[in-house]
Amino acid sequence: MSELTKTECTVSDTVANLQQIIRSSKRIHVAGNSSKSGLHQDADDATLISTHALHGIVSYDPQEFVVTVLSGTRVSELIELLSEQGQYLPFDSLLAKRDATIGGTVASNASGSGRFRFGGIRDFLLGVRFIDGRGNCIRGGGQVVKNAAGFDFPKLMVGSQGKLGLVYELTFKVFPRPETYVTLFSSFQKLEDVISCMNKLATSQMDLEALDVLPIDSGANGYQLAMRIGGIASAIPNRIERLRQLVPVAEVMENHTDTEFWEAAANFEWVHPQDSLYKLAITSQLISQLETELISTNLKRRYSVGGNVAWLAGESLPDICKNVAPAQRYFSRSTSTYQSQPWVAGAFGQAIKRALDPENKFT
Amino acid sequence: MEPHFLAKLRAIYPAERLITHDAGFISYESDGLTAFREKPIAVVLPESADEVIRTVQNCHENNVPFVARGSGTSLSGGSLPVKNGIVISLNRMNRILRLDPVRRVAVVEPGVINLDVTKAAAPFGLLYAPDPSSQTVCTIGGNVAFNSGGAHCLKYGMTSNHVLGLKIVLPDGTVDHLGSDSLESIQPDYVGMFVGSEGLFGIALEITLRLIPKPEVYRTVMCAYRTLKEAGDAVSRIIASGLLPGALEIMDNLAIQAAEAAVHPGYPLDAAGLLIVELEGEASQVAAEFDRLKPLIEASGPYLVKEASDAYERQQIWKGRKSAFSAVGRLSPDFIVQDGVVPRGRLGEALEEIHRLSELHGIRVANVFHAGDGNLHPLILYDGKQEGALHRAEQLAAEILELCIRYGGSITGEHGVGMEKRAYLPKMYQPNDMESMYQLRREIDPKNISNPGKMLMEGQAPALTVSGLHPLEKAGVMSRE
Repeated sequence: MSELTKTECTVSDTVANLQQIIRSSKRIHVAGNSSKSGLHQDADDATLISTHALHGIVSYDPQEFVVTVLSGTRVSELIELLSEQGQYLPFDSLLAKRDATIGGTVASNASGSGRFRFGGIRDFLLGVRFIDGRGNCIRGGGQVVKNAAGFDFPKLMVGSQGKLGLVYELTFKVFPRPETYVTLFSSFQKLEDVISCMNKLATSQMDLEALDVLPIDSGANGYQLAMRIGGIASAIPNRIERLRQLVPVAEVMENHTDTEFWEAAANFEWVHPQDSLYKLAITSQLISQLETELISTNLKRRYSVGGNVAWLAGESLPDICKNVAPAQRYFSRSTSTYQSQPWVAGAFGQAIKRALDPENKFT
Repeated sequence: MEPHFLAKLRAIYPAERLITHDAGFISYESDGLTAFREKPIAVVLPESADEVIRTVQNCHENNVPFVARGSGTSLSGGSLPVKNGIVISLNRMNRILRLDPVRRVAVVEPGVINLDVTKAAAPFGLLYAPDPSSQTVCTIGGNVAFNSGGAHCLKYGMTSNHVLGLKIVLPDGTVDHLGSDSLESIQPDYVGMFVGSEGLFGIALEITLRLIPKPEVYRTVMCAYRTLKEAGDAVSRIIASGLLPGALEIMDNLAIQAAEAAVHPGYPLDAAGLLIVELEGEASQVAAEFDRLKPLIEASGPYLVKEASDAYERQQIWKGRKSAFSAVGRLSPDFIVQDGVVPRGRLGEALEEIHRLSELHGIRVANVFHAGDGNLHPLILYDGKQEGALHRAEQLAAEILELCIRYGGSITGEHGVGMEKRAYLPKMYQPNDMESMYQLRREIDPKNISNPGKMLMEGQAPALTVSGLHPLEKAGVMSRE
């Protein structure tokens, strides 16, 4: 293997230092590059630990389709490294252009539109190393693509927001990147028509990489359905034709325009800099409920992953949304007072927290 | 305590659903890992979640261990009864509670048979992806407990990648709900943590499964090689090419012979290695992928290449593969099934090393494996009636597991640790990692009553006994992965 494809770095000193800090602190708040500032909870008494120093690729073997990185590594760097080998993480990591770290991406479960086809972060994370509330280094999972040995710590860390431990190393399986992408757009006047079309496609045999619904002018001028396909270039024309038979296609984006469109989505370029952004985990049936409440407001919306995620952006989130599904605030640049709803962990989640962080250090 | 506890069970179950006599225990004493046997004090057959919850509450109050069991197909001894404990047999909880083709989810009880989910979803053009070889009899509850795999994990993952939500009863009788119908979540992935916990965190009462559209086309090719290494190298070429097949499987000559004798799939009997490659998806994409696959296969030097010409031929190819384990029972009265994983790039090396160990010990080993995942399934053949044969077979099994750890792999890809490999988990993980698992166990099950002795060393291991095929295998009902 060439030097270019496999690099090694040592971080034991940094990790030992972090263990010491965790052992001697009463309250700890873990952050990467704070690209999702809305996830921060106010905790004045907490020691802020940044994973910034934990930066680099630990190992990458392109033939094995497995990569191990330190948690403070920027997502953009990882994407670039993989793309040099024609590989990728199919879940469309969010906020790469805003310096998101891979650790923060896992901790906030920040999968994007591309998770529709092959799954989200949970489906690609094979192994983790983290420091628990006692200051111990724990390894969970493994470095091979299939592993059923022991409790599944890697999955537990997805969405854990740094509250179950400080994740310092992550191992992912990666996939070969499709050589060509094309995105088709379809416009609908009525919400029920776009939803019905989205559901039809999601249950069809068309292998879509992404399937998103975008309100046009906040829904006043209908809705747009974005359908992305990827694969071998020679098959694309036929696949476009097949899709045209199922939906009235208004526009086709290829090459750079296609890439730019989905990069803009993953970086939330549609969100106004002064606005806050919220994530709701939903099902497609809840979209009409949300739209009924929100169509007259100036809250911007985007429904992603075939109707499994609602992204809402605006000054603040109306209470009505919280009644539809629990919301998580991703970021906020205004002085919005809305706090992310704290976890309401059930008995299982509480027991896990007690086991990994008995003194409740991680906030 | 026992009569008092049994009286509590009688208050929950009518006589026909509470087994307390030795003769009734026979079908529950063992599972797919037939080398172990143990008698419980009772077997209960609940028909509702409420009965399971009340049973667990009673076990908790009376410090009685319990083992949840589906069809008993575990290959790691995961559903082996515990001495002085009860078996909660969940086969009667076999209702599909909800099937929502629009949300693409099915909510099922734990006793639902794996293949029945796909059968129920088929009219809507959907399927449930994980396909362990025992899928005609194994239950979703067992699949969840052991994070079962199958031949088609390569593209879409294992059981845990297809479970969205769970209603569980914790070992103290508390009920909790994890996940939802959505593919996404804003909480830690508790569902993912529960799946594969081998019954140590309690019992799944309702399981929300993700359904996916049935692929438009399959193209299945069978390639025969003069050496096993060539077959292994073909896999490396295919993976490195950037193709993403739905399945990539290899069988060695011993396994080919056995499968051919058992179900006549039309395998070439003289092949040293047989590779099965399956592409799946949209017709035009698969056709383009196939054009790229062909030269790769040709360059890998097979002496025979045969593509399934229709659904029947495809089914035959898979029937042979999925029956391979049980078929090996024709070659030997007893065998141990291994489930180690190695990095895919070291597959060839691992096979050569297994062959060397096999010759060194003078023990025959058949190989059937999920090559695309690096998941080996060496079948170690022995005759339990010969003195010391089981011990020698276990010795070889141990060396193979150690090889997998040494290569940076795993001791189990899909069968779980169970009773069988619990001594090896501490070889794969460091003391701190193990301690963290014990801490979780202690917080979630402080009384150590939920499937104790599996995965983690605790409680007493029952004595090894002479084994043989599972009764269901003998009857031809069940196959092993």
